[in-house]
Amino acid sequence: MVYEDRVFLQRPGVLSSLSGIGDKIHLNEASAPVSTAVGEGNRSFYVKVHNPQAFTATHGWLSNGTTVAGNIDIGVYRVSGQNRVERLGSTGSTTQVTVSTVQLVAFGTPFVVPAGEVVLAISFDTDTATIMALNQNAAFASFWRELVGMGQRQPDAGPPEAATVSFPLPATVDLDPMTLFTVGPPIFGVSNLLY
Amino acid sequence: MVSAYAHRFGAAGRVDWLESHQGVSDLLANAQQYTSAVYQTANNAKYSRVFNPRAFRMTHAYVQNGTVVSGNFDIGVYDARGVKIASTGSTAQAGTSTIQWVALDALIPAGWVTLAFVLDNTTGTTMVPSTPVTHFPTRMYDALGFASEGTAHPLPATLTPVTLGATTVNLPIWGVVKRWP
Repeated sequence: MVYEDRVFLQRPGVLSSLSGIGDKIHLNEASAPVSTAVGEGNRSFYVKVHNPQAFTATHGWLSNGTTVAGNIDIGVYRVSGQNRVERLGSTGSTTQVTVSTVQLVAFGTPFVVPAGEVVLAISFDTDTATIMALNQNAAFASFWRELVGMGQRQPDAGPPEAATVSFPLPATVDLDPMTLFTVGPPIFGVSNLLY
Repeated sequence: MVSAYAHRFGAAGRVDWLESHQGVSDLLANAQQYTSAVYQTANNAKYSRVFNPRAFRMTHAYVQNGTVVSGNFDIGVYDARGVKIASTGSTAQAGTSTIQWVALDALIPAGWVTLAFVLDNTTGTTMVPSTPVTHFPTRMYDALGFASEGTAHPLPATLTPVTLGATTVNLPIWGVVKRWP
């Protein structure tokens, strides 16, 4: 029954950075989502979500903020070790276009997102790029990242077996604790579109 | 109207009831409200793919009418391949600011199904989510598995869905249900 509830609560063929947390995190919002600058270029961000049903991902997407700049890369990973993830598929470097809209990017080769625990990822190569993010109230802003399960990757940190770049999305990543996006979770995801 | 807005949008644990906007609550931030709005393009069908946790025999289709009713609508259900299971056929929109029920007997399979709605004019209104653009920006509905079809009244036998497009969309609230008792 728990499984059925999880399935029913999500759109079929859709995973977002907010999947499964809306009933908790929306209670802590200070306002509507806000346009938020990435702050530092060549950073990638990762969030673990539960996928109730396997589906074929055809598009990655993000909710662009009021400024677009540089390039983005959206992908899906599987967990392969403590804080380590391996890429299942990604859009590759794509120019960020059109402010204040959801930008949909087709995967060159659609791929299956397995049921269970998967990790959504997005990477930016430019610090001034913006994305819409939930605006958490001050009391919640200090620890939402740990609750949500979100990490990031620096461009040059980590052990030698890990990727040394963070844009485009690396094949294998050892995650670092999240330090950017203090405002709240950025909004992005992957979908199987109806058309 | 039926129940609390948030409940209708999440529909956790309820069975034998599929609604156009179920499952979007994770991405709908605060200030969730609904309002009456005109249908944006005559004869342009709206599609919403949802998950049905168990097969059931529906008894009714419904739409939440707004403050003005006009013309005719058609409500349907399609299977995972986009083949029509059942539809109401062209039905006069009647009754302002209320749910309009249309009897429709059909077996809805478990799994992915697509709900369809079309109105043949732009005078009639339905209830729609009134979240501001900052909450639910242009094309978010596309990302969530909604789509449209150009001229589709009455609803076609097979779906040929396309994007909702780069405009803000007034998406009606409609669904199918097994009324009980």
